Amino acid sequence: MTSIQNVYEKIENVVGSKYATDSNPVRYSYSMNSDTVLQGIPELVALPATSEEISEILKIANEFKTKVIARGGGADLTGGAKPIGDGGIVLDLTRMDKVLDIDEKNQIVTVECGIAWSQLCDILSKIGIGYYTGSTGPASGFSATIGGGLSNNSVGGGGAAMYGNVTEQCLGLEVVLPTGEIIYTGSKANTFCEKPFTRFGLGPDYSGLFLGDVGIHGIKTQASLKLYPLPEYAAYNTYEINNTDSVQEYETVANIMSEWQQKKLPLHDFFYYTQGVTKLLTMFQIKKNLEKAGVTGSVLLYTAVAKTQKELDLNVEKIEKVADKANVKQLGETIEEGNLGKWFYEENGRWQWAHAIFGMFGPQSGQLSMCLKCPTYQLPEFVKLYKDWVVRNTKKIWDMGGGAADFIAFGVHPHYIDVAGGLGVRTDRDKRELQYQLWKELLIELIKIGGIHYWMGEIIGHALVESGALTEEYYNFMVTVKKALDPNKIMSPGKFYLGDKY
Amino acid sequence: MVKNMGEESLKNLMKVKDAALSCVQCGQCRVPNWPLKGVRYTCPVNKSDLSPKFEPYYARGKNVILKGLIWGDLELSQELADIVFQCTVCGACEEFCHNAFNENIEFANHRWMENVRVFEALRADLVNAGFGLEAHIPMNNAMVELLNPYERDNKEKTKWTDELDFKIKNANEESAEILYYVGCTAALTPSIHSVAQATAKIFHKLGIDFSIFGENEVCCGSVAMRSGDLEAFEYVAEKNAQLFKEKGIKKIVTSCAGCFRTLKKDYGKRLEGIEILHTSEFLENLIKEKNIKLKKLDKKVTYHDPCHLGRHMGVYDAPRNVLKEFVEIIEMDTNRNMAMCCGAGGGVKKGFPELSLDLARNRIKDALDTEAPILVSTCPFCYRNLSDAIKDLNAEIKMQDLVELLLETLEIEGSGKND
Repeated sequence: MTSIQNVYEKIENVVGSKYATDSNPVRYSYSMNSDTVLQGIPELVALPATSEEISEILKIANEFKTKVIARGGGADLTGGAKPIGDGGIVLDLTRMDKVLDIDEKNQIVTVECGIAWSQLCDILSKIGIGYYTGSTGPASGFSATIGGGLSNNSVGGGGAAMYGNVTEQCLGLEVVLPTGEIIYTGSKANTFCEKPFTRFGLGPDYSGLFLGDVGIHGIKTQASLKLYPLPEYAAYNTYEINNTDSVQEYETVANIMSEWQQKKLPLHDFFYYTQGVTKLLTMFQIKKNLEKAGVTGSVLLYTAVAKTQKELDLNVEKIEKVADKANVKQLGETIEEGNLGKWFYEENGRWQWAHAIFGMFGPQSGQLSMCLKCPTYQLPEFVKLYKDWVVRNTKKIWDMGGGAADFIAFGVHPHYIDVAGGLGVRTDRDKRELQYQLWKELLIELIKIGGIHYWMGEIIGHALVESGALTEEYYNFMVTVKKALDPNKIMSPGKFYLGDKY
Repeated sequence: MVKNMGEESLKNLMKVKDAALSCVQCGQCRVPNWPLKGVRYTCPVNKSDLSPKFEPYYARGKNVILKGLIWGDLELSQELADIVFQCTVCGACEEFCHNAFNENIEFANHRWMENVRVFEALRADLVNAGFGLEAHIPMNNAMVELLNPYERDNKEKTKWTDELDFKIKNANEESAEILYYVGCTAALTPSIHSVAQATAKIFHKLGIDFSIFGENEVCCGSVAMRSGDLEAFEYVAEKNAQLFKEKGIKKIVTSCAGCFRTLKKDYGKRLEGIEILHTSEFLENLIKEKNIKLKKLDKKVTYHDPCHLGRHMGVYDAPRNVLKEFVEIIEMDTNRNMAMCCGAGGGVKKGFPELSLDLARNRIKDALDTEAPILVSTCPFCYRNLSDAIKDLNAEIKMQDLVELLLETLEIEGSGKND
């Protein structure tokens, strides 16, 4: 009996035969996430139902030195939710989707990490006065899980300008360490403490070790998140920026966004769509409305929220004053008049703007993502880089079957923006090597002007290390932490590039 | 295991290759993803506790497998068939997919995906390669040999008429304005004879000139089409087309959503020139054109959209418009294009009866949430599966077809008269 057969039998005993498989087609179905460029086929797939089952599986994996990859909603765009290279065991956590506690008094929700953001927010919206998690997951997929969002420092699925990253909502975790021990971080680490109400106070913030770790430090099985009442009043507006495609335009937008942030105005979200992305949007449902409004350039849109209409009106006045000063054209209030902001929040209602780009180039097309964070003032610099890079690489892009690179920028609490960019291309299988190289080259250039990527995955880890962005001391520190937690190197190897030192 | 041998063994899949390669694996089809629109579930199989819930038990996983097949990484196999056939091909996944061919999605430029067509093409290739489901074989053989998939003598197809106090024209012998195409389920399932009987009684009461083929009615082939046996489908489709042509049929009305979808969509140009209507559409037109007034029944009902009538054919308003004339409708949380499937379709009832029943139980729970005492549908196949689930759950809700309910009001004195 081979090692993997031994592992299979033991795992089957843990989760039951229904939830463990070595079936060819099933294994293959776990070989990709939301990109087809990176692919690795696991040897086994299991769907555990409890933290204890995961603990048992990790002990077995250590015994047989078999790698384990945790997977949530599988919506990752940079190789975070699939094996790096073939082999190993994928643990699909989507059976662990229960809401464990809704603490209205302290405004905290505790969940199993396999629940999706959309499922959770739907449940919360029906409780008491109606709640949500503020920052509601990644923009790449509302189907993403809480665990996936926390592993990737996700942002952009709504509420980012007001609440920041989803990881900033985290008050504590239950984690199964790579060696199988189950620990709590935050206040629940005090066994006498009843509620998970703060991350801090028991020594270092060990929750942080597992937030944005792309699963290399352990498997998050439970998370406690802050709750917020659903906004009662909301206003939306959309502006066309008419200085099409000029440095002045990007400076104007950066200035408006910076001022909004500096003045701490209650913006729930604000987005800047470049001219290219706006053109794409004009192909969508709202096409006629934007056309009628005569929009040819880029747009800036916002949502503001408040507890009363009076408060909302006052804030909207302040928000608009900033925009008016910049001499941008405000579109009408209704969706019919081109209010993309209103459409996004009332009609669309799911912040899935990124999906607009994924399938744009037809069959086998995809998004090679390079979303990053940067100070708001840096927006023009990133625009320039994108534009220059596209000009330099047009031939290569067309050699891959065609595509485009562009981005949307949105505000993140408190003072920065997310440049949610990507290379939308045809990702034909026979050109994977070229796609990978091109993708990495752009990532490295973005890192070199200070872009802070948040999804890691294999390719961003590589780009980060190869760009020379990390000091040797920082890199060594990462390796030391990883070695201490995962001595047998079984936990998501390759998800962050740790090179020869690990 | 049969090697793919490229396009040869994937003959049907390669016809829809672009659609088969278009999934971007975002996972929208896995979970409730549009709470503001009332969408809380997409895949009924994934929702079922009986599903192992691995990726291929909903659309995304199957779409990754399709890539593997086309790229030559995977081969057709029985193992694959056992997964692929655990899908009702209800099309809900397509409804919420940003890349799908669908009028309801907001990103209208991304219409590449066609899950129902692609999954059915894969089923056809699996069957061709000898990997059909055992349970489907006698069903599809019977369709060819006995002209119905229930393995029954086709003569039984007239039994439901025995209790009628009027005679229906025999389409084999006399012409009529419309052909009432009964469908195998209503004709051969004694507990659902009432659907056929109610349809006939309504037509009779309203003075419609109609006929039936009775024991010569040939199965439409829906189950063969859905379960991948294209040979069996072609056989009955040709036979039906020939029969309709020979008998000069100009207009077909059916009370079965599955037959409706198959005749109107899957037959393609075979039935060109013949008008095909679902009973709900026919009745809606009739009520409107003749200004028929119906006496209100003091009843609240909830309506289940059959996938083959709703999502597959876009008929959502006709049954509702008819119902609204005489009862109050309380909508379920998921309805119209977002309605959850009853679990019977796609060969699941035959191939995986327990799974099928569990899906129906979930749908009954949706109906019970409305507190309406009556669940109405417009498909005998949904009727059958949902009735099974009502019995299984001992639920306090009555299953009725639209025509049964309509007949109730027509039997009230003064109802059904022209204004």
